[in-house]
Amino acid sequence: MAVTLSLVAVVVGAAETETLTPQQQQGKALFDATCNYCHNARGFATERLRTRLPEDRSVLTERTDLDPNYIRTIVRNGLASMPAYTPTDLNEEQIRAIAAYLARSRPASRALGSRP
Amino acid sequence: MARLLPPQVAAQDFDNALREFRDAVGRQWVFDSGEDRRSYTDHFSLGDPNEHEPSAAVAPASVAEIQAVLKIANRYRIPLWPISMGKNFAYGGAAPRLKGSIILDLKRMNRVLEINEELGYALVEPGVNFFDFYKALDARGMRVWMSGPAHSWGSVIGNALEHGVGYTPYGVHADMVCGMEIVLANGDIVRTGQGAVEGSKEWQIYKYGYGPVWDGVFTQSNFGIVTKMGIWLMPEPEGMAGVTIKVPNEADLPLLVDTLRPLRMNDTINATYTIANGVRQVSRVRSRDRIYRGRDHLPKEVIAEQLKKQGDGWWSVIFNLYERPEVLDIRLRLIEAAFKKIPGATMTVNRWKKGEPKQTWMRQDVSLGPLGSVNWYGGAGGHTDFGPVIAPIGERVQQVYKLVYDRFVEHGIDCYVGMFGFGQRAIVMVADLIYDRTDADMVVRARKLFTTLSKDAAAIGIGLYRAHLTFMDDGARMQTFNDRAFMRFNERVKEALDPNGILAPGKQGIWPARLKDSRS
Repeated sequence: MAVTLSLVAVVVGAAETETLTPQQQQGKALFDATCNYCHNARGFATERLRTRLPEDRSVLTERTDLDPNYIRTIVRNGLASMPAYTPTDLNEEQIRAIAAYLARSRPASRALGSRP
Repeated sequence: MARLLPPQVAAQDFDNALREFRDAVGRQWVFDSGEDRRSYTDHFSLGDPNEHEPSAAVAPASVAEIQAVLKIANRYRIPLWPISMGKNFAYGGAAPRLKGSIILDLKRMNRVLEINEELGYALVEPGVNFFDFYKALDARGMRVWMSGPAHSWGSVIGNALEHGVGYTPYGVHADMVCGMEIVLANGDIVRTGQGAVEGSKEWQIYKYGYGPVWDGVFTQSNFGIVTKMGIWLMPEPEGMAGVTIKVPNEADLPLLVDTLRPLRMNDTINATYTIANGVRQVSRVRSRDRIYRGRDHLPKEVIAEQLKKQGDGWWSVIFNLYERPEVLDIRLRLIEAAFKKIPGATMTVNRWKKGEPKQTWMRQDVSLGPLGSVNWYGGAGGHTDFGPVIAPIGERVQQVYKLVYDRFVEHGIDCYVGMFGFGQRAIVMVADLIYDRTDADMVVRARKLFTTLSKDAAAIGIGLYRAHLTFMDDGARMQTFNDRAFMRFNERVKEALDPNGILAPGKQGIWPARLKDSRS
């Protein structure tokens, strides 16, 4: 019985880690530490997006239509009341990771910087 | 974004300087592309986003690299604008006062060098923000608490240097500074207080060394680059109470102020209090168009109706008390008795004691929540504020409040006011100027409003506690005593410490002689 339980735990653990690539995991950690204060489900940035987008598109982590290049542009240049992030706030690799995380559910997701 | 040169610097010299900066700090830490430079501009600019555009940014990782950068900047007379986190968005963010300056970005210097729980202090570098500082304290069990500002992405050092504030008994952050390390424009490294003694173990516990006390000179100034700072931390309190007092009548502001003053002065209220006016309270609806669609100032009847719906009074006062639970009861009884004299005032209290989970009203969380207020008008929000320092005498506060409110109404911008009892003897009135950056007319009105208010306030002997880049010269012009002797003194110090005028020209209206024509 003990062996069975341990096997299940490993499978569950593996299934959890399989859902995100290492880059996406890094992106999730960065998103949680940097973006989530405003873009959490009840954050003011989410609230703001809700005024001009359908409900299911206001929470960034649940979007399936985000383009990595678009994410990079917004992070680096800012949008509306969101200020730009300087290269010392987030470097290119870190932005790429955040973009990979947010675009993970996008059909035929392509990497940031790759040609369409 | 077209290439930009620093003022009075030839293109060839600029190229040489950038090359030398790259040699000094590593090529990946010098940024001069249009996109990178744009990221350092003022996101909430009042008009032209390039008004305070930098020509490049350089990010050293150590004091030695700062010294190398200063040497190059002195050689080519290139103005540097030091930033720590660059998140002071109501006042210009990372952008420089003087267009074409190079940003000296200190974010890579982000070590918490020491946390001492026994003596209640920390020693930090400029790139330590409140999020990271909180984490560092939390990892050690939070036996000492930080005093944080409304937005946690700012730098602990930058906030204290800019006279930023928080809501604990340690809320006047500049007062909690104990010992600085400063790199002067010539590259010399100075430590203040007991830090002047090699090997001192007392640098962070006693502010007054043998000789002059210099720390204040390096706050809101351009006389040096602060690379380390000691900051006092509050021992975890045994208990707390969160108090909210609602005062229904607008006319009772003087009585409210006169009731708070003695309680704050004798330390019954032992931390910062906030008085919110009606506009600030109705902003809880988040978006203005939910209660009013006119483009003029919110009419008082609209404010009154919304306050009624919310169950709020015209004035709301909040503060926290920090004390052992049994002594809290005594403080609360004294406060309740004092407020009974205000008609219709109500008081509600939350309590916490050591060991219990923290609650939202304690304001111990790190957050960016208040930034949401910039979206008040919709569009692309921005904000700054007009921040007069006022004696907490009812009549005086009423005089300044009326002056400010009337001017906001005249300029068609909602007068969103919080008045803060920072320290025991002053009120800082933060009249938030929120605007929609896509509304050019509104932005023009906001600029005009600030300049008008600065003249009005100076005429009755009122000065500011800080100001946005665009208004730094306006703030300095309010210091009129003895034919502007304060500014003459600042300029003499500037010439002595920074003869080439390379450090933050124009900061707080202090200009080096060679760039004085850049004054607005």
